[in-house]
Amino acid sequence: MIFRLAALFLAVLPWCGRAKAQESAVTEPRGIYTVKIPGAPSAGTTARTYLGVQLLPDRRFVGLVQSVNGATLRLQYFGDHHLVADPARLCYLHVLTGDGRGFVTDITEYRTTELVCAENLTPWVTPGTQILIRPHPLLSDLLGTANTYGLGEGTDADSADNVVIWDPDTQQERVFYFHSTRARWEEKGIVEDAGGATLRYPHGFYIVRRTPGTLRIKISGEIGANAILLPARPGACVFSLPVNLTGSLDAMVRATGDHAVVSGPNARKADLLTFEETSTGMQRGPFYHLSRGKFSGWREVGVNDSTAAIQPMDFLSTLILRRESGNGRVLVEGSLEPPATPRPPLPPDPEPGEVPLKGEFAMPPTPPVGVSFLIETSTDLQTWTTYASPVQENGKLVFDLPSGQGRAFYRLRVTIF
Amino acid sequence: MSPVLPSLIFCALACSPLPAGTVVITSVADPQHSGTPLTALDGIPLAAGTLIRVGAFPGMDDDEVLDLAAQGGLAGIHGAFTPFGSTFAIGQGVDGAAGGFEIAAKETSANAPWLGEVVSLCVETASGEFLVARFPGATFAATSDTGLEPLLALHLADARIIVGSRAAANRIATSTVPQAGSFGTWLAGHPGITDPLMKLPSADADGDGRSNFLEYATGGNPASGDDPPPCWIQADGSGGWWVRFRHVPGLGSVRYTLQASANPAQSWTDAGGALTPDPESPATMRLRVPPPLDPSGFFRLVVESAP
Repeated sequence: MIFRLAALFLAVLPWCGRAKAQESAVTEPRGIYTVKIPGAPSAGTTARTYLGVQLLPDRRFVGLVQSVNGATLRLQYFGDHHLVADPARLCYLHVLTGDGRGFVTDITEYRTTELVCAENLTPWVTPGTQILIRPHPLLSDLLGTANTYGLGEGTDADSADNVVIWDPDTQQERVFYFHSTRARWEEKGIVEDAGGATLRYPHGFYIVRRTPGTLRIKISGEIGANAILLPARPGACVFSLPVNLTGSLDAMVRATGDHAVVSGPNARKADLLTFEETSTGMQRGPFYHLSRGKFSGWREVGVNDSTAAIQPMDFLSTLILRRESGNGRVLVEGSLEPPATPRPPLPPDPEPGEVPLKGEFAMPPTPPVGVSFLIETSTDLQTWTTYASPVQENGKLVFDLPSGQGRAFYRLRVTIF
Repeated sequence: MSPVLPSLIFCALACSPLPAGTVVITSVADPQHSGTPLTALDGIPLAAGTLIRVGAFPGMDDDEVLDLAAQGGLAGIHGAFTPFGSTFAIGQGVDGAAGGFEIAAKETSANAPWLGEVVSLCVETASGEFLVARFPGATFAATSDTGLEPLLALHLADARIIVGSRAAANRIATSTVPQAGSFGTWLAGHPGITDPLMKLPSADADGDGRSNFLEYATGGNPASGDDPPPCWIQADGSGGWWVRFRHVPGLGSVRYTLQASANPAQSWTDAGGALTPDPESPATMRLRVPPPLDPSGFFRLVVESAP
């Protein structure tokens, strides 16, 4: 842990040269979203909130590939390949450049001079391709080992709030809940600690509330804006989307060419896409990509002249892609470029008596004397404003997050006097 | 984007609650599904005022729905039909194209009478004609607390038309109130036929050379050999001919196909052309054979129960 904190702090240093004054520097921005999770409207009912995973655990490696052989690859200028492993987590490899841009596959084995992946890399990676290695998030990362945000607990899944991961291969859900007496996350029907359950990127998940009252949770991490090849399967898949500040269907989902959605002459023959809006609890779509003779373009089923495909969505929207048959991959683009027209801010809509949430940045155990810290915030990664002076708590710089719901980015400004 | 658009976006979102299930139905053609426009009985494509509802007839099979329509008309259908989601209109989802539609019905109620029932479609024109279609094998699935919301994507061409008019392979029209109910109910109206073997669709109870099913589909009497011919040819007075046949409006599951051949001992093919209702008799369909005429030609009517 100390190693990671120090590494993060050192990452500030390269930014010094970009600052107006030599004595000031900023960290890379991180995303911190506050999300409202509505409770069940009445006894015996449920409320569902979809959540994408786009604020991610810290990357373990970004660099170039030296060689590829089937599912095995070697990194350029890298020593012992065991160093990129995260002992506690399953990591994935994400292709950032080249024809395989967006490809994601798990890393199954670490060897001294090479990595072994779950899939053949040859179609996706060549020497010189830039890749990223990152751990998949865990259930306990997102919701806390001890149920940080107070989801309804119970002695079985049917009496508690549920965290649901949809398995696209079996077309079945995996249901998790916080066991009230064993005080740990468990999977439905399995008596063992499930806090380490992996939320496999780029899949999404959803929370089913059986208990009343709106909760507020925090999602934070590195901003995942790289393009993703979503692995589509027959039936339904629940996908997280990369951060895309333009955030419209038209701008995000590839409709033609390689790794496009299945287009069709009607809604029966094409992939159907619905977007679950976390901020509103509403659904957009279904949409499909029409290809009929000279007519081509996104359509919203049942809507004439719909402009919904070009309208911005909540960053955190989750995509449910339904496909009739055949495996495939669909390229979804992220973007940190702000939209031409600024988006309206998400209404915070705070709940009465909501529990305050705190943001945090790592810091070295013993910061140098004469260093001060400020938190800056932005919603478009372009315009930054000073937000707060953090306080030091347990080796972290902590600050209060705004009330209600929000999608914001934060960075730490470090000033050396 | 205009300054007011963002607020409109949020307004639009607020009007679309998370559904417990979605049913997508299209009539748009694709390589596996022909898709000629839906028409009224007079052959004119249905216009924008025509309403479309998705739903179910809880506890009823196809024959019971047809019998209900024959006995109670559109009011009877309304009474038994449980709608799923909103009401739509012809032209919706297809930029207003007459006779077409592509809709997504969404419903938020998790526990409702349509669960486990066959997905059905009701189309109702402003003039009171209607069509009832059901999708064999497509049922409203129950929504579990933790499973994904069900979504069905269906094509009208895969539906079984219960009430309506169906000609050739793909021409579907609305209809007036069916003049007969299901085959079983119709035959029960002829109590003189008691032999179970003579009650089969393929049997010829009155020995007039026409099967019971042909009599059913062409408005004949299965207990009488005096029925007029179901198909005939007349000169049109301008050098061509009219080929006419009797049908029973409203029997959507009966498909009528007029076939032609130059030599009846050889192959028969679809006669082609446009079958239209005879303005003088709604129970008669006709096909015009324009001049110049071939030296000889033969026509026959094929009636079959559509799958």
